[in-house]
Amino acid sequence: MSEVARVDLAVVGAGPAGMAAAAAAAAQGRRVWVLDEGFRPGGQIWRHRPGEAPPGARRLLAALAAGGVQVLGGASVFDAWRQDRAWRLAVSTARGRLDLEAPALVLACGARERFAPFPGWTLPGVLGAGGGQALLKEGLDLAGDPVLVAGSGPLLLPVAAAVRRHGGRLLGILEQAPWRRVLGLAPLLATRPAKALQALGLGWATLGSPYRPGWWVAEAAGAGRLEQVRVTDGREARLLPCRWLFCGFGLVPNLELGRHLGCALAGEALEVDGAQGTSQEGIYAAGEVCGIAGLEAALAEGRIAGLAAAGAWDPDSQEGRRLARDRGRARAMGRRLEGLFTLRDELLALPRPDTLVCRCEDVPFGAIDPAWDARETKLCTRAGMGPCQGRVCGPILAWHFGHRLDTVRVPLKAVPLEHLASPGP
Amino acid sequence: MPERPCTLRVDGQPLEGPAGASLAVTLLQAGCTRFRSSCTGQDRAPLCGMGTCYECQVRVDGRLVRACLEPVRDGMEVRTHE
Repeated sequence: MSEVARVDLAVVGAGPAGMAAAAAAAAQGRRVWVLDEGFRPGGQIWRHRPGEAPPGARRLLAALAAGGVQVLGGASVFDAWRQDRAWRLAVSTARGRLDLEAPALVLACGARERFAPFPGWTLPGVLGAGGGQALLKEGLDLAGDPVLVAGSGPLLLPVAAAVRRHGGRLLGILEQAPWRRVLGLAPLLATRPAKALQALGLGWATLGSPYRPGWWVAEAAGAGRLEQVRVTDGREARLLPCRWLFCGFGLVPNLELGRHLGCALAGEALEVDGAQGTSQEGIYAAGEVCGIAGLEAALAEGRIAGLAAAGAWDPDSQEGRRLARDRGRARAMGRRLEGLFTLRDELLALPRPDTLVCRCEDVPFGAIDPAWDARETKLCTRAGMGPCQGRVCGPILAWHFGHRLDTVRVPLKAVPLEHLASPGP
Repeated sequence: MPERPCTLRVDGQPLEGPAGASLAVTLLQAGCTRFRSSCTGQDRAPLCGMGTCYECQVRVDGRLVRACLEPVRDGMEVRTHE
């Protein structure tokens, strides 16, 4: 039998958006719990080693402590439903299943990385760009190893800076977008340089590094682990001996929980109103689940969502106007960045028939008939039916074959059978 | 908060690591390249670093966990290659 905890507000995700929401609601006297799969709060941007939380995170952590907020790490929400005029979350933890009941939810589930497969992308030593950065923030020491950073988007620059800080020998930063697109960043930086740099997470540490727009990784190879990569600009190709490849192609919002709860979408994001309310009563959303826009948007939206969930959001107050302005500015920047780093068609031609598209079920590109739709592909190949449930291959299948997002199924996360089986009281 | 060293066992072999550190980082630092074995027998190691991809799944004290979401604890028994 699982236990049921009852709170005023349940926040899913302990990154900046979730922490800001929880702190705001707790300061209004609400009883708040925050759930996160990670074992320390902070999300991806504030990921840190024990006791080394960055200043922004420390401020919010202090506010959470002052507000008596319960932060539950290692907690995976695997099901959610409406019951007794409240929302229920089924949560899997190392200590067993827990059910949480709350009249209000804030979905601050963040985003994951987008991948673009090439031969060898499953080799140990090939990580996402954000994936590599996450492990560096957790203390990975590269000890002089040669590292290539590649893919697309503004994230590559802070990742490269982190590689150098953690002892890696940075071979280069390959940005698949051409120079003329990357130069589109300049006016964004020129308008409000300091804020823009901060929002992008760019540091001057990357100046002077071999940043190469118009280049991409065509293949990774090695016996048992990554040993070399073949890179190209479409005309010439080079072989680079390398021990780590941190390669990511932008971010994808984590929409599974919101979609399962019936929240309406706006494109590839949850649709929200001015108070961060979704189409479902009592459910708010903040941060990257509303579209990729970075830290400033997450902090403003989280605070708005927390105040709204506590019935204390006043858009006409001085603070309300400031938060709305911060949110609008960050969102505008996010939209402009999105258009700069579209993926080039040459990347679609990289996979060979034996290159895997679904890494959970080991489904190669050659097994997929381009005439199939998403459902047929799933039925015939099991693509998307492994533990990650299509979170990695779903966006790849959409990009290569035009498959539309399939329905969301519970359990939303791979959890032990006994957690599924234990009935709610 | 200083990081206290602790000892875990990985596939029967002792390994030192800082308490509270990420198990994925501790294993990578020890040169581990096979966290899990895929359904066609390929070696897999961390990809996303944030709990999405399940490529770093290992068994800890009998439970299947994602190594990137697991803090290192003294005496933990880790089995790779499940």
